[in-house]
Amino acid sequence: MDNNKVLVMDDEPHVLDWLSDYLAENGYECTFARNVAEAVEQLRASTFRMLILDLNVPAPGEYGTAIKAKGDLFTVYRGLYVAEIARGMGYRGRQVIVYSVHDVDEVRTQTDRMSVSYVTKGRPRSFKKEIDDVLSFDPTSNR
Amino acid sequence: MQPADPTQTIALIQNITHQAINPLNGVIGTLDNLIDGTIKGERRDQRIKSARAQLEYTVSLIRNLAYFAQYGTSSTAEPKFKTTKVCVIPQLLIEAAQFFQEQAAHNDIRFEVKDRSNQTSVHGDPELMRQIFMNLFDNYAKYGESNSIVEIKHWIQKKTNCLIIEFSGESTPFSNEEDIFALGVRGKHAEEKTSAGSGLGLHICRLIIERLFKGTISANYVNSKRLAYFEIRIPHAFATERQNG
Repeated sequence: MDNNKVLVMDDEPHVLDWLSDYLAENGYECTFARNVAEAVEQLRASTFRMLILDLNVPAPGEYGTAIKAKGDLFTVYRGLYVAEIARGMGYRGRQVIVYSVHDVDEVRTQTDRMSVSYVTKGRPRSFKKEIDDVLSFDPTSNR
Repeated sequence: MQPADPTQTIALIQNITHQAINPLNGVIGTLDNLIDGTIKGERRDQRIKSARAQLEYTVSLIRNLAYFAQYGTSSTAEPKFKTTKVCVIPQLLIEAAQFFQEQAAHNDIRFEVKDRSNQTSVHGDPELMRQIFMNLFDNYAKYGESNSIVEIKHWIQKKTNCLIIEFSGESTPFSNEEDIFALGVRGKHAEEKTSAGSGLGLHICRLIIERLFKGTISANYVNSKRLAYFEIRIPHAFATERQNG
């Protein structure tokens, strides 16, 4: 496992310097994916210590069709699809953080079902606390 | 000119909210990092400047809303410039391009303003002209291809005295049949490239150019070259003297 790698999926990485700075200060290196396709490709190519996934990202090509088939919630909050794939690949719920602009009840129900963390944008302190919680947990201890 | 139905209005508000929250989130995160000591040394200055640019970008988004409120309703009386201000085109192009330099560099896109010494000008409010250019540069920064150059040429057509400004750069394709200047319109390919688009920026460009500068704006995508062209035409252009040698 590449223990110091974090996958960040967001289509506006230029406004996430604060996040990569925070992770770098804690010894972690960000790999950015701008859409669902790039994120899935990264998940297949490497193993990450943690995944931080924006729910509102583009899903180009075949992924758009695959996501549509999963219903309205996944079609609007496409990052859920990546979270689900990651869980299916063996990532623990505590290794996956998803985020969106607002706290949406339906999304929370889904993230609770997947046992992944769900945070909202605009509150970096609670975001950082969530990251600290994830990084304080060793996913290899009982995998 | 107004959104046709409440669903369209809601979608527009959602898009703009999303687009404004992201840079603000970046600024709050940077401030938090400065406060808790995450960012140290020389990087502090760089990050403070980035945060300032993100705030300025958010203001430019909100300005689009303000211009839409001012000029975007059919009930508004025909707007006119109250002053005799002059827009010096190369200067405004350079200012607008500099604003998006960092974001474009993130995507390996470079803006190149040609004929910088040719002081093409038109009467009108430079703030409005800058907003038009910023919206177009924003478009290329979002939808432009990596490792590409966006060229901007400007000249006065002798026969008609029309100012012509032409933007060209490799970009996500759009259909030439589609009215990409209509309110809330985002092409299929644009939506696949990024979720960060409001469908307002290009609409504001057309509003300002047609209603205030009495000109036209058109767009064309050339599939064989993968180039997106935008052309602005404004009548009664003239050349001004250079102020700084």
